[in-house]
Amino acid sequence: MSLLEVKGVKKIYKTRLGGNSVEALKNVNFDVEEGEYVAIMGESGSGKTTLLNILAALDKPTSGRVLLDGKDFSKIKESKVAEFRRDNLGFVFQEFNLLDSFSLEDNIYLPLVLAGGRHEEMKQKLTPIAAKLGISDLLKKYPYEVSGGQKQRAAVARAIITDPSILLADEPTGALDSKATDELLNLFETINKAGQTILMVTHSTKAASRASRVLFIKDGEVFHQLYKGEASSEEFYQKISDTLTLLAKGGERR
Amino acid sequence: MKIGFYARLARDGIKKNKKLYLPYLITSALMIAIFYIIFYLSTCASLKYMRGGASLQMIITLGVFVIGVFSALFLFYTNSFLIKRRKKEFGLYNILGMDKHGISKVLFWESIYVYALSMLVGSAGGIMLSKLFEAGLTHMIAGVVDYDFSINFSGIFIAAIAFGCFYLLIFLNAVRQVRFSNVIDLVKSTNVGEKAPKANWVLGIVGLGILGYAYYLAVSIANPISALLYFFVAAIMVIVATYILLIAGSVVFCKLLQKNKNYYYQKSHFVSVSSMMYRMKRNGAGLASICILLTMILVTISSTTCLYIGTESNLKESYPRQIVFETYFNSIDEMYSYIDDNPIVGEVEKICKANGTECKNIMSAVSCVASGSIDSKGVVKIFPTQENESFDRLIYVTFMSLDEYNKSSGKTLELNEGEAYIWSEKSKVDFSEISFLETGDCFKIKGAVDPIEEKNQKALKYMLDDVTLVIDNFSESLKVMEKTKAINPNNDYEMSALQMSWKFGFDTDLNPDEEIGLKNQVYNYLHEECSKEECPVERFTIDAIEEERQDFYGTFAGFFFLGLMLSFVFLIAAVLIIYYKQITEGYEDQPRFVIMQKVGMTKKDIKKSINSQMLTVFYLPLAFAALHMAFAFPMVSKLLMMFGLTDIMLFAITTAATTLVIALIYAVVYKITSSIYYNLVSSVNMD
Repeated sequence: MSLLEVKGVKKIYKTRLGGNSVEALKNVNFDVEEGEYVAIMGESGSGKTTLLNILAALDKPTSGRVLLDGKDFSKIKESKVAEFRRDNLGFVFQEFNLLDSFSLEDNIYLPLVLAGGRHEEMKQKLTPIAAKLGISDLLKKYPYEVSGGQKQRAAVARAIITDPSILLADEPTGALDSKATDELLNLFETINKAGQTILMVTHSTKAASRASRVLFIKDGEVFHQLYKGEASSEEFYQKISDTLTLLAKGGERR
Repeated sequence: MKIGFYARLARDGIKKNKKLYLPYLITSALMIAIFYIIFYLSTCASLKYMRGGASLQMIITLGVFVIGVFSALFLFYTNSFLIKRRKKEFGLYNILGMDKHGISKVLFWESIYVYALSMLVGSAGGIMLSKLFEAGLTHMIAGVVDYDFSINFSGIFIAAIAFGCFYLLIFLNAVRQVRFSNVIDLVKSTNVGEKAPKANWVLGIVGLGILGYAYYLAVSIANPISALLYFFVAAIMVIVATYILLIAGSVVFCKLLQKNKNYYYQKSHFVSVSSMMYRMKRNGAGLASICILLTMILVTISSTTCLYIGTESNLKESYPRQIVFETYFNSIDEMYSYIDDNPIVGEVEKICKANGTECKNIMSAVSCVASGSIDSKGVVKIFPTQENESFDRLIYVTFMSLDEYNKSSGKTLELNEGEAYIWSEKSKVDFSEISFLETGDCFKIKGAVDPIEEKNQKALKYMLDDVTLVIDNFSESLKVMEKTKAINPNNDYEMSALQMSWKFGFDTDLNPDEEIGLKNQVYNYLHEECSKEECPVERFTIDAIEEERQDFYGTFAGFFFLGLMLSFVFLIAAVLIIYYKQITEGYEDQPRFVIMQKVGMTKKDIKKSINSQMLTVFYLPLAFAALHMAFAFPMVSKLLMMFGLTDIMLFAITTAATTLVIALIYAVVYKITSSIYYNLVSSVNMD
């Protein structure tokens, strides 16, 4: 059994009066194995964000199923969804989404506090993670006092401190400069090697080339997928950009 | 054409920001209406020619200024808030090619619209309501209501000029704000990055210190005259301390909570403590303003209501009979020999008969009162030297003979040589003997006795400490007094230091007008009698209660009415601040709650956290205001004594009732505005 199973997911948005309906996802099928590092690519409007929202249990598919560890998302009670999300999923966002009213330390603690942990335990969990992410010295600082890369590392710490089954990253490098991007991607690789499953939605070929598998989405369907296999990141980069070119041309042909 | 364009833009701007402008317009119209009503009442002829109307109108005239100044400040405050929220829109106009001159034109038309609209609605409402208030006030001072409807055009004119000036200033201020900022600032002004607040320990402690001292002042002052002096000092200190404490002190407090890790890192405290810290820093000033306004409302309503309700008993205390006259003498011997065989009582009874009534419920009392200062050991100085005596220790010493006391009280007390009984209406008697510095007389205090009514009115009236000494032989007191006179034959205090008087009062069956007529006849007679060569009466006073009643009611109804009006205005201001605060916070918190939901906060958690945080933030000003009121209570009750109100219980009741009513109103406002906040926060999508 795969860690994450997405089966025939379809999402139709209706305008309020039911006049127009837009099909954001047609029929999406894929699995993610434990320990995998998957990137999802696609152009704006391809349905990436809709898919990620469904995987994050923030939105419900019109039809189809999403299973994490064999547990069906649609079977989770409305009131338990947030709890489920907190316990099983970790999030990293393009805009970091750190709360400006908390220090970095408190931002990282937030999911643990919400889960009702004890302060001593939280501290024990944070210390090694902070060391690994290189933010031990920044913990007392506030988001506005640190750089974008540092903010994103704190966000990663917040995402993984709960030991989530899967880490969902939405354009994590979108707001970073190239140096910070490299640092973050190295970090993701390290975390992944340590056993963390990662699913990342991205525009960036460079970011995608570090994943072990890339899914391409177009017009609400998984159009194509590439495995990295034994290829180096540079070779994989080339393959991905070729595919993207192909996709774009294919788009024109239609 | 061009002008039409800017005007239309301004109109659309107001319409689009209904949520912000509607409360502003309503407030503005209300302020104008109230301004007009108060002006109308302060000049309206029907009140002017009523008995007591003059005192009433004098007090109300004060209100015109207070309302004017307050309206100006408050409209300014609200408008700066509106401009802050609308800067983005102006920035957009600027980017799209409208120069700042153009924006100023839009602002100008907006001001014109708001001014015209609120002037129209306000003066219409004011004109309609003014008659109602006039009737209410007339009723309060027990006059006859007439139903002629009139419009005070000069009132409208003055309101138009005054508020026109306010709006001109507001407009200029808005232009200044737009002029001195660049486009980027304008566009971004609502989401400027906010720094985490630093705990300012020094300021926090200073605030606490100032508040503590102000409270100490309010509680420790024993004398009404110093209460009056220190009331404003204490009030200003409390205002300053409230601002400091709510802005800096609360951050310090939250930091302390944060330091307690086991408390802070709990689901229910984590979010609320940290966002409260933020809230306080940004909105501490708003909260402090709400708190001050609430305190002013509490003090104003409770005291003026108490005064108004207490008018009748106040009147009765000052004038125990319908007609009271008092004659003053130069020496006790003269006084007693005159009273024993005086022509006055008989003549007054004759006058009454001529008016078809008789003297009933007669009160006749002699008083020998010395004023001076007293120390804690019971040493009285009749002639205090001003440099080293404080107000607190001024005292009225009344002498009463044992015979008189026994006669009045029906008791059969006895005294030995050099002994005295004592009582005091308001002062603590904790000395075992009382001595007179100038004369060397000394009385051992045998014990305290029950007071006899209607004695020592003067001490009550001037709110000084008082003791009454009951002595066996009146010549003892005579000795004291005359010795004192001998020591200071030409002193300036003679009149106030030694007063020997005989007071005579009686009731009649006459109606108020006839009673006043009777009083005038008695006055004429006394005047004639006392100017006779052989009459030892030095001077006299005479009062008819009916004449004073109108003045009392006029004064206290005026206070009451003005108190209600001002409190109403303060309340509107507080509600508006709360409303705008909720809106700002709602907009600010939207993204924050989206993030927290993404991280795994449940809707229930959010509701709970919002609730606890809002409850704290919301009820903090009310709790503070109640605390302020509690500490102001002793001071205000002393001030009320100045107006002759000594019924502390009544004041306690009106204070409690006022606090309850205000808390209820506040709770309703909380319910309404917090639902606005919920809607703002929960309206956003999670994306």
